[in-house]
Formats: sequence, structure tokens, C-alpha cells
Amino acid sequence: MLREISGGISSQARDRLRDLREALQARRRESEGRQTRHGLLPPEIEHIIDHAAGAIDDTMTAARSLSLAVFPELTDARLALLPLERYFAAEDGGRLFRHHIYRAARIAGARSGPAAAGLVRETVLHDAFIAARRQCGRALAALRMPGPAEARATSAAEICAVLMHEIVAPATAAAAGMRVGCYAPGLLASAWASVDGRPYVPQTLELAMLAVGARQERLAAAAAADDPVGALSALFESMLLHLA
Amino acid sequence: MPDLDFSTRLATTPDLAHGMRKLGLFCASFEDDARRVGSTYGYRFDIDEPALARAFFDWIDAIEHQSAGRRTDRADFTLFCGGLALGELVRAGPARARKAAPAVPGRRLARAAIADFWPEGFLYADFCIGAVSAVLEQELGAAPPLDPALDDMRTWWSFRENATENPALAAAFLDLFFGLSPNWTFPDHLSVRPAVGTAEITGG
Repeated sequence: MLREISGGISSQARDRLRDLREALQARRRESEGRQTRHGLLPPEIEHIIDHAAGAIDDTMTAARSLSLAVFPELTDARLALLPLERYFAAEDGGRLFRHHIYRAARIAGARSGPAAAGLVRETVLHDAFIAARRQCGRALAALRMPGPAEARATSAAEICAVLMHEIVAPATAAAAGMRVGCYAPGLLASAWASVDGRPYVPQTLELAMLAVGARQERLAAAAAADDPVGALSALFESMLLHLA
Repeated sequence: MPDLDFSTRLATTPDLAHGMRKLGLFCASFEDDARRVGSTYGYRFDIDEPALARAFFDWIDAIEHQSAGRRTDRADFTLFCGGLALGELVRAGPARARKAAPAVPGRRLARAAIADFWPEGFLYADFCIGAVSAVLEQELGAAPPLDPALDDMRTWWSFRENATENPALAAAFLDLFFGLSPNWTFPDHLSVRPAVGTAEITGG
């Protein structure tokens, strides 16, 4: 329980820092593109705020660059998704799940534009992970045992469906499609590693993005159905059986 | 019609009948064929990958919908699936042709006039014929012969006009290309094909 709380708090803290950085960068862009000042504050104060925002953004950018230099495995190019069941079995699986699927969601979101990528939240993944661990005991146990691909696809699809439902449920109808487009590819690629048994390769996420793009409207509609988990499971299972 | 290299290379893929029902191999094969057809006939095909993926999953859905609980001859089922794929490709339109220099300047190929008439449709048909031929070659030892109607421009006038208006008719044209009697009324209904009911779909 303590780990869950601490994971949730750290996810929230990271989301807030990312929001702050994006707000600073937006302020900076606005300031650089501004020819004349029409703010409520005197120009000298506006200038000081712009300067401070730029300095903090530079510091955060430098810190991020440094962390990627020290931990190159954190770069998107080195993203390595694990099979779904591994996240739920490992000691620090929840943290790995949030970090991996968050990055996969940012990559997928970036294809739709900066607005979509900016909507990705680690906190959402934390909550979904807790719910799936509570609800998917049988499917997770089945995935930990060897079995035919079809049966593994059924179990992996059920876990994806619960995760997707928890991710989409709090969103408005308008945001549901965008959340599907961002989060579903990472879940699908991870689930595919569970079904296929081969290690993850970046092409899997590319294929998963294509598959989700082809079924995005249906996934969003399934998430709003009377039995969202059942409807999402059927779609994920079909994608898993025909991905690669 | 299909280039021997394309068809023969595809036929070396283990369990091709199932492999073609995977998004990865389907897209890679289609893009490979688009490059080959383009360089042969002097076109560059821009591929809309999301549209290609939509065509693929709509095709999978159509196969599953049509084959549920039905019994049919394996070879005929392969042909039928090829026809459904052709229909979904025509419907989704994932390729856009742009004129480019042919691989061998000055050389006029027998089917060049057909490719010029409808380059995208020519590519879709070439891909589906190549894939069906490769699967049948792998499973039966030989690809079926193609009908001379395939080289008749009048067939292509009809194919383009009818399939763009009603993509389901593409399945009937694929039957025609392989020398079968097309069902123009219910071309995308497995249940009305003559071979249905004679055997189980094995390994479907």
C-alpha cells in the first residue's frame, strides 16, 4: 500500500513538473514572438518574469539532457517494453510499467501532434495499473504459464482491456479517442510480447500504432459500450492475433 | 501477371496463408510490390500506411464474418480471401501513383497500357493475384493459370468502373482473373460459392 501511495505521489510530481515545463516553454515562445507588449503588468515586470521563465526552462532542459546522458536507456530510441505479465510480477513492476508505457504514449501522441502528446499523464497509468492488478489475477496467472498463442492472446487482451478502460473512463467523450490513440499502442506492443514470446523490437510499437490507428474509433466506441471490458477485449484480441 | 520474383519470394515465407493475415507481413509485402510494380511500369506509389492498415483489418473482419462456421474447399477459400482483400484495397485506396521514369527507358511492356489506365488498381490486383498464387503454390505445389481476360483492356474498363462504384465486386473480378465463373450478384458471400460445403477449411 505504501509503495502504491509513493508511486502515485511520484507520478503526480512528475506530471506537475512536466506541466510546469510546458507552461514555461509556452510563455517563452509567446514572449519571443511578441513584438509589442499588451500585458496587464508594467513592461519591466513582464521582462523580469520572461527572464525568470527562460532561466528555469534552461535549467530544466539541462537537467533532462544530463539525465539522458547518464541514463541513455531513458531515451525514446532505447525504449524496451516488457511482456505485460512481467510488469505485474516484478518487484518494481509498477514503476517500470508507468515509465515504459508513458514513453510509448508520448511517442504515439507525438504522431498526432504536440497537443495529444501533452495530454499524456503518468498518474493515469498508475491508477490503471492498480486497477488491473486487482481485477486481472486470473488472466495474469494464465500468462505466467506456457500456453498456445490464442489462449495467451485472450488473457493479454483482457488485461489490455481493463487497463484501457481505466485510462479512458475518467476522460470526456471528446478526449477518449485521443487517450486511446496515445496509450493503446504501448499496451498492445507489450501484450504482443506476452503472446509471441520474442523480445520487444521498436518495429512492434510502429505496427501497434498502425493497428490502433486503424481501429481507434472502434476502440473509443468500445470503451463507451455497456460492457466496455468485454468490447475492448474482443478488439485487442483481434489486433493481437493479427499484428506480426 | 504477378512478377515471378514477387510471387516466388512470397512463397518461401513459411505458412504464408497465415502470415499474410498478419499486419506486418501484409504491409511489407504490399510496399515491396508497390516498389516493384512502380519501377517496372514507371510509377512512384505513395503509400498511406494508416489507410493500408484499415484495409487490412477490414479484410480480417470480413474473412472472420464470412467464414464463421462454414465449410469450404481450401483453394477456393484462398481465392475468396484474395478477392475480399482486393475489394478492401479498392475501398481504402492506400496507394497514390505519380508518374516516374521506368526502370528500362524506351521499353514498352505488354501491360503498360493497362498500368497507365489505372495504376493503383493495377497494383492492387497485382498484389492480390501474387499473394493468392504464392499461397496456392506453397500449399498445392503450383499456382493456378491466369485467364486471358486479364490482358484485355475492356476487362479493366469494367473492373475500374464497377469496383470503384461497388468495391465488393472486386472479388468477382479476381475470380475472373483466375478463370473462374464470377458471381456478380453476391461476389463477397462465401456461402454462395460452389465449393462451400464440400470440405472443411483446414488451418483457417
